[in-house]
Amino acid sequence: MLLRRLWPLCPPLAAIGFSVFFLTLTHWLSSQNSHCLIHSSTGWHCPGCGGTRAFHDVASGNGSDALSHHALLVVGMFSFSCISLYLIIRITILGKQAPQLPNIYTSWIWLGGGIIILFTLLRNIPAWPFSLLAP
Amino acid sequence: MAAIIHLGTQGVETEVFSNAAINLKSISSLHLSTNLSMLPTAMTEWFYGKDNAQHGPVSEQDIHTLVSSGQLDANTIVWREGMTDWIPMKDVPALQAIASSISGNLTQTQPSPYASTPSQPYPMAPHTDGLSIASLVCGILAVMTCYFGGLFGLPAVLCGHISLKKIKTSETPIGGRGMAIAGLITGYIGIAMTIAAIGLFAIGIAGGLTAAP
Repeated sequence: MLLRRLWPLCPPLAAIGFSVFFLTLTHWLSSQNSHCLIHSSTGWHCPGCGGTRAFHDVASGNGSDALSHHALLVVGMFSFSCISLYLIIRITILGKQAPQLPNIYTSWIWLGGGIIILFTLLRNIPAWPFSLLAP
Repeated sequence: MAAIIHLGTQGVETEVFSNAAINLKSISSLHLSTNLSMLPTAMTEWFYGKDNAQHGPVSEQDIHTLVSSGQLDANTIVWREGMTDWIPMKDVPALQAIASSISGNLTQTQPSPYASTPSQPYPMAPHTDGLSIASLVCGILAVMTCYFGGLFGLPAVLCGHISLKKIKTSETPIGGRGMAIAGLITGYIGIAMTIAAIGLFAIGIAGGLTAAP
């Protein structure tokens, strides 16, 4: 099956497509003067809060601002591009097979979910070292 | 040993009381097999799990041959019609004789310090359902993307439900139930955030329109 061999191409393409869609829509939304509903009603920072700003900063090459807006997203974007690049090199230049999706260690996914939950909890603590994580 | 293993209520009871280390699961499976032993056993057809796949049907004689040739061992999971679950061969009275006749003789004749070490309690780790992975990944993205959560929430919920159904109805054990449930929860949270956002945004627009003269 073609998808079984070429799936590493899908996540980066999907990520690029989604980013374009997301940024277009948020750009339009912010022109309508809308604010985050969760933040304005509860005062909490949700796991994605500051992500758009961080994305804009990365796109304009402003690393430190991006880190201060959403550190996890920047680290995640960096590792995502590294892994995607490795997988694409692996199936094209090295000519090896892509790893089978169901064989990927499920503990990695649980670990990722756990890191996001921890990050969300920590960035909502209004004390010095943790407030660095808040956007 | 052979007298204990043979099918029949008397034999099963003898074994339950003679083996102090027997656990609950094997008692229940013994009970199950006791009921099964009322059925004609001449044409019993067994299925066994090996290399992440189901094999069979094979007869008891075939199982004997496979065990003798070393392809199956006492920990291989087996199933036949009427059993609710796949269980290791060593817990099935009808096959215990076959399984222990080979491995049992070995450990009895060659007592070694390593003999008590269990070789591998689960020889084949249950294969994880890919849909449950997809469900959790989409679910995590749904929570991360705020207003757009529904975009990932829908596939997360769909994959989660399909995966749970698949795991529930499958005859062979499949892993990934926890991930499917986590994907469902996060997916629904994402959908709820999107619906709330659309609703409030619509109210905001409507309010803005009425406020404007």
